[in-house]
Amino acid sequence: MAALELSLEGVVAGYGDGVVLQYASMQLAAGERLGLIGRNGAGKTTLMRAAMGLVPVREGCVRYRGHRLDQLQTFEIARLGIAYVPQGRDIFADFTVEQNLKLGLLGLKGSRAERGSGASLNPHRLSLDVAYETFPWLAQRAGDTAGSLSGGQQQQLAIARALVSRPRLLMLDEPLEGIQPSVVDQMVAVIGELCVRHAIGLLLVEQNIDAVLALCHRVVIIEGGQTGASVDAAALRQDRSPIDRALGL
Amino acid sequence: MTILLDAANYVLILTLVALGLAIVFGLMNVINMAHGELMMIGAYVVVSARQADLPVWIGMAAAPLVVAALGMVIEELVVRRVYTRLLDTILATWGLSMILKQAIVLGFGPGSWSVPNPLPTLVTVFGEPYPLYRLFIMLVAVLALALTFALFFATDWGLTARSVIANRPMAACLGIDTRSLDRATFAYGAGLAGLAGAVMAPIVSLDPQFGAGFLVPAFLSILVGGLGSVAAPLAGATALGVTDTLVSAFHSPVWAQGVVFSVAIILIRVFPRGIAARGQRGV
Repeated sequence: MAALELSLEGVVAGYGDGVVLQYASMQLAAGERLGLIGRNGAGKTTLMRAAMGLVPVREGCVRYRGHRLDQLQTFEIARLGIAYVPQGRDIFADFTVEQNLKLGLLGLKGSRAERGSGASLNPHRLSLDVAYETFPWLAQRAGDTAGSLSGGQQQQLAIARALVSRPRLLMLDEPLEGIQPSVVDQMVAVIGELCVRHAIGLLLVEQNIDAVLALCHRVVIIEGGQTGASVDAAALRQDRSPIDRALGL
Repeated sequence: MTILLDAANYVLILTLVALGLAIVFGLMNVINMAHGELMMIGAYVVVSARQADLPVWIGMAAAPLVVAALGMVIEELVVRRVYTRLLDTILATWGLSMILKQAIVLGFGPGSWSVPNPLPTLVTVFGEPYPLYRLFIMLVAVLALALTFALFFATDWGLTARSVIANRPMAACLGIDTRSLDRATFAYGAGLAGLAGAVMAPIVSLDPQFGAGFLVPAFLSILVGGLGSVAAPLAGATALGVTDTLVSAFHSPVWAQGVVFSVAIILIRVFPRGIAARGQRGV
């Protein structure tokens, strides 16, 4: 197994007085693509938000490349090279497409990626190019407000915005939600391709099991805030019964 | 015609005060009850400059800087520790406003001060004599507003600040340093209040209650204009400031208070999202 990238160890987290994650643990190797599967309310989103510092970690710890994420602020976590695209994508609807992308870049100031990119002559152009290369249509819509885009386009913009920050690890929460069925396959292909091309690890939460199995190396099933052992996606492609059981199908 | 200039005067000062409040509220969700006192302290900086035999202008130039520095200290010591709890911020900053007021009473006494008008001449505007200094106030306010809008709408820093106003968690997820933005914007808002207080110093009778008189109209301006936008306070301050000045002039200041509140209530009722809101804000 490659070097450990992200690990959660006995994480307890929740909102207000409620506890959602109950001693959740999981590990992700560098460049690995891991799917999180579970019912609604099982704690998939909370796990990502806890890793991102958006939900306080009450017990346990989150480690990422030698850093204790549970002791850092959200913006510091992002600057370590983790890009999070939340469910509902959270693009800045009033801003233009280009401003949205630029914000991915502005957050980069002083971060690992900026310091590490000594070779690039113009990091600004270089970074926005990543977005325009991956989704060429963005260039034509650069001046439009992001709120005027369709749901699928907004999702692509959110992913492009994350890409611009040159992440090592991408966390996508339901990237296929609300996307036209005809575009789903294309989106899955694009996500897989960009992870491979830019050597980005992926933590994926998605209801579309086909997409998860197509994209991920391993799958972790999460039930009632507790994580199960990880299962090879290859095995699940043969026999899906563990997933069906977890989802109560 | 001069009545319109008076109205413009009041509107612009009110906007400066309201803008600082709105920026801080938009970014940190903090209702700063001590904002009026920051304005008041700006005016007392000018008094201090006079006491030190420095020209009034020096005091005016120093006031926004001094108050911005004070704002930075307040942000570090008080605001950043409570900003996730809306009610606590109101309580904490209200307490702070009392401390600041008492500090001024201790330092300068409870009585009123006056600052000599540095431009005591009248100029003819629209065929009528008008105090030159009031035109100067308008110029300063317009420049400060223009600078603020340029900062927020034409710079990368402004884009990051507006992104935090629009969606703080998402902005943080993009690596935008919310901590330093909070500190900088609080100081900037305080500086605007300090500037407003300083330029007003020569035309008012200055006492420790001076800031409180501006806090309520500034809040109303934000409510009427709409929250979550940097441009809204200008719209709100215009609606209320013009109403106030006109009714004061043609009827009485007492009536003006009542009319201003009525207008504010009606506007908030008709435009719950603020008169400057454009349609539904997408999230």
